Amino acid sequence: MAFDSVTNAKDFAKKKKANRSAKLKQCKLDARRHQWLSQVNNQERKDQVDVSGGIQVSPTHGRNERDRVVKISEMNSGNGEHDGSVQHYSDSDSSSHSRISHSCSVGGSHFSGTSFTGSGGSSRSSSSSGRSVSGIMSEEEDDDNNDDDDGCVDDWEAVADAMAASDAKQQQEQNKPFQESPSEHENVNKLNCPPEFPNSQLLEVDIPKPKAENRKAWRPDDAFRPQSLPTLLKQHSFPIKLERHSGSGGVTCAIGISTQSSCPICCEDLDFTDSSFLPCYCGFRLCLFCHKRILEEDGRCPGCRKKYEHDGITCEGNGNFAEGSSPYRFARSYSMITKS
Amino acid sequence: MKSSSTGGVGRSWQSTATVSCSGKRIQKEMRELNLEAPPHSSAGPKGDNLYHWVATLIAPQGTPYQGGIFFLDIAFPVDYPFRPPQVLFKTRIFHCNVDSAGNVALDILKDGWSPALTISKLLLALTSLLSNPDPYKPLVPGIAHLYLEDKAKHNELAAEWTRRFAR
Amino acid sequence: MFRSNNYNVTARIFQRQIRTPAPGTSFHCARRFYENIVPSCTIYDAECPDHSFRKFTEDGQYLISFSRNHQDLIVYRPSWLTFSCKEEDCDGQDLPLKARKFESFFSQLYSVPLASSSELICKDFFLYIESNQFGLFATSTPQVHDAPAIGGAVHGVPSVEKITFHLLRLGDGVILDERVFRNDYVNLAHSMGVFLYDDLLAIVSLRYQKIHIIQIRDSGTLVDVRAIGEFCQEDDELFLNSSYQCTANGDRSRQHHVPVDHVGQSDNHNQPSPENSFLSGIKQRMLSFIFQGIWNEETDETLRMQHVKKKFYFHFQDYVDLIMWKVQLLDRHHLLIKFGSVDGGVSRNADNHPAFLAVYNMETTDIVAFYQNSVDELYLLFEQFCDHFHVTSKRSLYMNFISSHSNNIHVREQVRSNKNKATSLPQFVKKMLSSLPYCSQSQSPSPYFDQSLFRYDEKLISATERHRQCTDHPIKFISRQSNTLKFKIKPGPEVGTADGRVKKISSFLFHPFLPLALSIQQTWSLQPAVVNIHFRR
Repeated sequence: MAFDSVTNAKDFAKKKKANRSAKLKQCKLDARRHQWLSQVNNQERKDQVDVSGGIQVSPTHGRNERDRVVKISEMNSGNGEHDGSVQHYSDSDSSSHSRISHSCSVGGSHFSGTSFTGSGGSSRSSSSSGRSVSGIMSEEEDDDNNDDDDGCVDDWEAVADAMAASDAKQQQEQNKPFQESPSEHENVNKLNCPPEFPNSQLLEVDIPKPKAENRKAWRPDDAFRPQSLPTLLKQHSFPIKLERHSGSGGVTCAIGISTQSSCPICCEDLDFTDSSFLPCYCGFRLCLFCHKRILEEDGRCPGCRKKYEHDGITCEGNGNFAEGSSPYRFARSYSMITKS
Repeated sequence: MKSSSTGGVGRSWQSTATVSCSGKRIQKEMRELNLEAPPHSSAGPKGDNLYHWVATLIAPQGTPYQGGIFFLDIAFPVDYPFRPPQVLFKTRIFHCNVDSAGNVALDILKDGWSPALTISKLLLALTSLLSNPDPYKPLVPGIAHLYLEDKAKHNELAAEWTRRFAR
Repeated sequence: MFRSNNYNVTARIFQRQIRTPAPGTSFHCARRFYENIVPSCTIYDAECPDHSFRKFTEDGQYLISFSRNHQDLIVYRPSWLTFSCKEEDCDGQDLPLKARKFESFFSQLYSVPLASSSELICKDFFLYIESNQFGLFATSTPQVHDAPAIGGAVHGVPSVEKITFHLLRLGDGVILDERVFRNDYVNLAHSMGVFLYDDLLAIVSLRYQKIHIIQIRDSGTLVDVRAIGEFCQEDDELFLNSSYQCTANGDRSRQHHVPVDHVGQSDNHNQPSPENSFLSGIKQRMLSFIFQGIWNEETDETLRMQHVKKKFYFHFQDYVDLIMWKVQLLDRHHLLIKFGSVDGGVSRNADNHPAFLAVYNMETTDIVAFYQNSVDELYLLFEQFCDHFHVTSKRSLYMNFISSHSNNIHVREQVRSNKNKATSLPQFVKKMLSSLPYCSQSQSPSPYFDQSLFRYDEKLISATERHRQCTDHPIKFISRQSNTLKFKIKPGPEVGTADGRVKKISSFLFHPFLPLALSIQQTWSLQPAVVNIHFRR
């Protein structure tokens, strides 16, 4: 399963559309299964490290950390990170292939990401998926756990999460205030995104502690998530199906999925780039046109009336998060986008 | 697909998109107004021109302006919603924030404007301005002065104006 | 022996002696005598001075005429031909020569110059104040087209440099008072722009969109009551200025730089401010009335906004652009105002332009009703209560008995048949309602136009005093009761001559109660008019 991002990207895009609906049912069953499994395996997973070389699991990561990870990953609009993480994955672990192989209803994806999924991340993702299904109650659970044999569907994502989380660690110090207030973010989420998918929010929260800081798993609702991957969470998949353009990273500030389909300023549809663009803390989402226009004028966010902070990257908006890693991921995601 | 690659769009594209963008936005607001009509007010385009609206404020009960019906002209700029609409009172009103030419002093119509604001919110703001004049940022200092010093007389004059000019 | 339906005058006199008519019909019964006494004798081409004869006054006291150059007013008193006959059979005798003279029938009272050198008397304009025997005349300078729309004037309305209204005591010709309008335009033709009710005058200034209400005092002075237009109440402008002063005074004590100089504004408001973009008082009332009507029509709140949008806002600018065309007084407090677009106001034919009729209460400054001129509801009101629109002074002796489709069965039949024949009902309604608002004193009170007494061709002659195309055929008046021809009005013996091909305009002046009428035929050229006198010999 050698990774060829270029060709795979194209295929992926096609497959994505083709396979989506077919996967839903499967995913549903899978999720339930994973949930059960994750509950079994919860404790075992706690200190799982090394899915792949780059993944580090820090057992101490709490939910806050996860939140952090989630946010970072979303901030980075998923794509680039996924790319990066994918590649990273490919570099490291072939040993995990075996574990991956059985994982998939997805099956046969030549995407490198897939291969990773099967590896260290599978267990985690399963647990995370499991957690998401049981979502509400398990929010408090702190699961950094990973391996799960038949949660292979989810594992890769857990791994990716871990990687992303480890990235996030680096910025943790910078982003301390956010750590302290996950609840705020959740609240913000609720403000900005209609609480249609509370589970999804919780899922993000409950994703097993990040194993790597620089990597990020494909978010379940990420548009660029390889189609060959089983869609993890029904609650994620459904919204994806419904909203093609809706945010990959999901919710604005932290958690959840963006359900905005059109820019509130110009009423044009929000495409993928726009949806994943979050320029302001307050969570006011708008399209890139309008953002640029506003920057030319007084540069204040229409939602909260505070000046937009320049981050040097048009797409990335506010510099809440990983500025260092963002360009990297961003660039890659761009390459992904342009090619697709 | 709107975004080719980067977030920034070419200049030319943006300028042609502006007019249709403002038109689209105004139409959307019109539809929204249909659904959630604010109390005491209504607005609609004057004839075929989407950029020229007329609004009506029915003065709420309990204000000295009660019983009055105030007509306003609303002109949307071409680059709406990045620029605020221009509001002009067409009915005389004795109000410290409305001058004798009909101009309104409302913060959201000048510096406080945000592209996220809609006509509906604007109408609400105007209605609330009727209920609560702001004498500290007046357009007509004399009236503001009267409001602060002798509110009863102010209300009496306002009611008389309403009776004479705004029925 | 004497049947009640005997048409003989003797029988009628006898009936009158022994019977009283049903209550309230005494006037009508008395009028029946006019069937027997008709102006059947005609003196053709009477020798008369070359004046343009305008009208008999309502009480029959005066005949108003203007000199040919439209500068002087000449007033005659109608009298009667008197002559003596020495022959035995006086009835068979021809009339004496002097019968051919105009002066035998009318005696001149006086001649008064009304118009100065640059002015002309508007010969179509005359209003009579019966109670005091005053006459209102108008003189004006020539009309200026394409006048600039300054000072709040409506664009598109022509301007006249000076219009003067003269109030004259007709008994002796003394000018009592004058009222001047400068750079204005009042529709003087057929007194359309001025309405008289009792002692109140409503003058419509088309150019400045104001209705001037003027009272005519017994002493003969013209007193301004109010001017409805920009402001509704008489003291609105005063109040506005005093408000500004009041607030400005408070401000003076703590004057500071403000972007809008409020103190300065108050000074500006002492003069009319054409830059003022506020809706005029009458317009505000009108729009507010329309809006409330539409707002209350739709009770469902979710649909209300759309309803208002479609019906009101969409047409908002059209409503704002309406101007007042014509006004009449319905009583001492209510005005009937016709609104229309600018184009239709000045032109005569206004069929294609939307028009609205509003009832406005001057005292409460409220609009009471607002109709479009094609609305059935208004037409029904007009059809059934026409006399309430054709208001005349209560004190008038003869003006209250003019036939209309509300008080006369024959007229109503005519209207009904027109309605049935009409191809399009809204068009018919519009045509009927186009006579509103009513022009005061535009109909002759002569009993010979009473439709229950006589049947005549309305196209050739009618109570409405208008010039008509001259016809060669005599105009027949046929008694309704007996269906016999009672009398004819013939244009003249020169029928069929070369002159006959020239288009002539004829006008008819009927005395209010005497069997006396003048028919005047004139051509467009400056030839003197041919005057025929019709009277009962």
